[in-house]
Amino acid sequence: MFATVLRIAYRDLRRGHRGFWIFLSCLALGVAAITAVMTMSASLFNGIAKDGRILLGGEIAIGQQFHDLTDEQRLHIEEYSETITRFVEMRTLLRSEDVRRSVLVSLKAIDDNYPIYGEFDVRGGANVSDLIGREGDTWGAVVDPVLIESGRVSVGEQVFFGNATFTVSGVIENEPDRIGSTGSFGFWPRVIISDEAVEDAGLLVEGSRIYFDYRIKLKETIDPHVLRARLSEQFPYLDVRDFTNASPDLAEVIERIGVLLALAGLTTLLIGGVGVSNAIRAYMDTRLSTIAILKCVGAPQRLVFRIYLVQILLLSGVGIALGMAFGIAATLMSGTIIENLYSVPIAFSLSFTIAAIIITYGMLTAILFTLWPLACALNTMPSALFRNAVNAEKRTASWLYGVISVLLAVVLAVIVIMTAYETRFAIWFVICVSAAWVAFRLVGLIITQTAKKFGFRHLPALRLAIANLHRPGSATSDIVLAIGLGLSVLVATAMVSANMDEQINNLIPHNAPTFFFLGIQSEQLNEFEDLVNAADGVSDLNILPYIPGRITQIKGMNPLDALVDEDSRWLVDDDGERIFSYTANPLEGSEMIKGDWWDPEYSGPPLLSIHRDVAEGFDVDIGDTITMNILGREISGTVHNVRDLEWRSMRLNFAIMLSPYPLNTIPHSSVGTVRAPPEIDYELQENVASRYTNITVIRIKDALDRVSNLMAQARTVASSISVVTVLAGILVLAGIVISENRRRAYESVLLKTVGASRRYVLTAFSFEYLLQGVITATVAVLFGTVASWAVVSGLMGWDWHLIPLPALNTAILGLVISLVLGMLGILRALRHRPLTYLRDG
Amino acid sequence: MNRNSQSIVALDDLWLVLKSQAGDVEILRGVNLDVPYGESVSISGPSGAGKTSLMMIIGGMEKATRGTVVVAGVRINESTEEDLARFRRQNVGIVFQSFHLIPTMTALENVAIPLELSGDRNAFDQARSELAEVGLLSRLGHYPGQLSGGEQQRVAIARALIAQPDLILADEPTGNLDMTNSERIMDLLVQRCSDKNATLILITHQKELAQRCTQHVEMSDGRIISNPNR
Repeated sequence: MFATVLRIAYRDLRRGHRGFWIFLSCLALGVAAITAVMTMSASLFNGIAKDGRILLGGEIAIGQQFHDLTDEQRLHIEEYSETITRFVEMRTLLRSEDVRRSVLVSLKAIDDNYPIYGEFDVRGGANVSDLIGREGDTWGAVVDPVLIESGRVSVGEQVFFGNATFTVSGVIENEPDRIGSTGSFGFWPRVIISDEAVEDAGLLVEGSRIYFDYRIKLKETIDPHVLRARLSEQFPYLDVRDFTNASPDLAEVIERIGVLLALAGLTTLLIGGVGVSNAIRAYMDTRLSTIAILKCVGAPQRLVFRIYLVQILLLSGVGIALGMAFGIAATLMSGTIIENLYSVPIAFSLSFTIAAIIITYGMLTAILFTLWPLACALNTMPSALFRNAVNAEKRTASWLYGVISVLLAVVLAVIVIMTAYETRFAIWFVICVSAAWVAFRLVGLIITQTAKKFGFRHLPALRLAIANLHRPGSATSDIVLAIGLGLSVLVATAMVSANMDEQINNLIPHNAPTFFFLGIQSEQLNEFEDLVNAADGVSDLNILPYIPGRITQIKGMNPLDALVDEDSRWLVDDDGERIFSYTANPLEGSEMIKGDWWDPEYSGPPLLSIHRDVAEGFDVDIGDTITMNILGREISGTVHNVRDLEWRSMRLNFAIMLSPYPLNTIPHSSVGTVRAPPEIDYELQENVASRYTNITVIRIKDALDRVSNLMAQARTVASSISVVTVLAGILVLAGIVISENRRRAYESVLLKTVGASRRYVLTAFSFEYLLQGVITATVAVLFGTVASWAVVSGLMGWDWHLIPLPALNTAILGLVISLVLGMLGILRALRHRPLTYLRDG
Repeated sequence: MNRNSQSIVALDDLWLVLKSQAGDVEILRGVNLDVPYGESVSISGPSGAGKTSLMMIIGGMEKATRGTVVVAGVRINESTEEDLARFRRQNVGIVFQSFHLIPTMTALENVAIPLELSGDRNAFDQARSELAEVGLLSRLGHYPGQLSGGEQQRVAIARALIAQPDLILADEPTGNLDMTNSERIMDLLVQRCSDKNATLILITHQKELAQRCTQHVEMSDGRIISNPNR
């Protein structure tokens, strides 16, 4: 029987494929979006895995902050090593003769063995050792191209680090292990000097924020994984990685962005699903008489169902294959661009699992959206043929198909949640999409029901338009859903971006300090304060101790066992070195929620002031204890108060503050902030940086500029994705317009027959699309605005502002899309000759 | 049941009541009819008399509200959807006024389909000879849109007869054809039914066509008002 099903399905498809391009486009677009996102993220991982040794710079990486390895540790490592390279990394100010051009950079001082793996390339092909050597009193330095392009330095120019003078001798073309860099060193522009130069400059001050890094090529007999595990156990405070996990931070970023984009791709696929559903409904409408005939000649319903299911599966297969092909092409093309832009290795990868996930998404979506229209069409009674009433029948399907559709939706949701990197985020996504889906369907229903109540007896054109909104078989609900969802995503993205711009460009600079100073040593404190306060117009100098450590127990429990809110996990993560501080006086900018501050003279056992995130994240209250390991010493404190603060104000503050004793007896550095008027800020920066080579001066505006640049890139990605979702909406609308063409043509012929002019018909139909466009855009603006509010104030915890311009632009875009596509359809319908329809009709 | 055991169609007190917003509409009101095997019966009557509804019930495409319907020994009202599909495949051939061929299939494929549904491996050979019988051997690969009205109806007749059904239901089979084609189609239909020893039930408004049948039934207002067998 299956052969019969295939044969009849093939015959039926052979000549009846009109309108399939909408089905294929809608499905292919969604599948392409998911394929592009998933293969890109897999290719990035593959690239990182393949080039692991190069990206890490060795088979094993060992490093730590503040102090170099001990001789004992070094000797231990040498036992296993064939080659070792050591370098130090730090953030420091590159000082220029013109103080206004000074800039914070990520300085890396290398030895002669660097790099063990890969090639360090400098523009022009010169040898890096020659370029960073000493010539007279000056050392050579090769710099990030960004510094040249931004005009901060030029080749041949003299610059200063610490006490030494450097000549910019070359421009970095490829630093092989850049993305394997530790922590945030990748954030600032890179400058490379020699390890002798860094000592000469006096930058290696004990206790400064310097990262001492070793890269090792092992003897052939040594297994890197085994050694990494052994070293981690032996030296728990060292950061030990092997080449299979060259850049955990990058891997996490790729994973997180990948999930976000995959969900956006899925949204596109779901919007495309509406188009798929419409296309199948239109197709099945052309097959109703065939179904009735097949039933008349004795085909059981089950067989007819199989015939059309096979057709849909075949078409879906083609759509998914096309989508995958486009998605792979997009990955291959954009991969080259990303590789060049970000120096991230990309090795194309499409694993069986990923292909299976994509195909499952595509197939499930296709079946989910076609099952109901298919089932409705199957209910065509053969008796309708006797009365030529096949198309006039009102059809619905058995509740069983409704149940199956819901089950398919649940399966799809479960797969989304199970394959997502962050389950909680995926659950929220599923909830939001389902809610938006139901909400837009409701809006569609409200529109059609409301339209029924309006007559406009004296405005026949408007009456016709409104009647078309609610007539049986009207696509209003689908248009509202598809275009509305796409536009909502666009509005939300635009509003979130606008809010972020406002926060970064306007709000933060007004309240924020001008500089952050890191690594102020205790013995430098008084002199540093005098130096800063002596500058004209500075204010709000704020200095707090900066003491790294870990939380080891909360309420006597393992911190992870005490965790009740995942948002607070960062405080106790495995890599979790946190910063603690102490103060005698209440912190400015904090709002006390529970308890009060300790007496300024208090010198008893440690008391703790904790941020509300700590209190809520670990269910901690006043009187509970938290134990910290600070420089190898276990210190327990009792919670004395709970406070709130606005992180965004950039005032100095820490999640856990202690009363002074006993931290004030432990050697530590401090961190400071200050506000300085623009007239003297560069001078102040130069004075501090030239006087204290160990103090890192971070200019907030530069940091914000870097963040803004990163945000702009993120915005471009987000905008591209939201444009794809709108494109899916447009495809759906185009499909609806095309499938309605015959009906519109027939209506226009009838209107013309009774004396309506072409212009009148055009006006009447345009009203319909105008009304649909206005309503859809309004609802989308409303939903998108609410979504942006939820993201900005809920997820980001920032103040949300209604910024109407992006919403208005999107509303206009929605209107234009609706009108233009609608008008194109109408003009097409008007081209038909009346005779054709009247003869047939 | 006081019915002739040789009847292919036996209807007893058949009622069809459809619900509408304006209230129940009685389409058929106590119809009784026996059609013996091998006979040809024409049904005529004004529009709304219930002719087509009667034919739909006989063909198993509509269920009677009450009464007994036995066609070719099958109790239609007690059959499931699946049984009815099998019943139509094996026992009934239908010819429509508007031909109703599947537009995406060739003449040959349209005719072969009832046998294909029954899993007959020789479906295409038989369809070819059936089409030869109706004079369309040269049109095997043509699609319905490429055939004239008369040719389409001949394909429909071939399709109705290919499974050797005992009963042919024809609803105004010449209604969409000109006079010359009408006569040819009617000749063909009667001839082919006679060749295959099939019973023919024909709905027609044309007296000349009705007279070619062995029995004539007149309907009005949901009732049979003239039936020589009663």
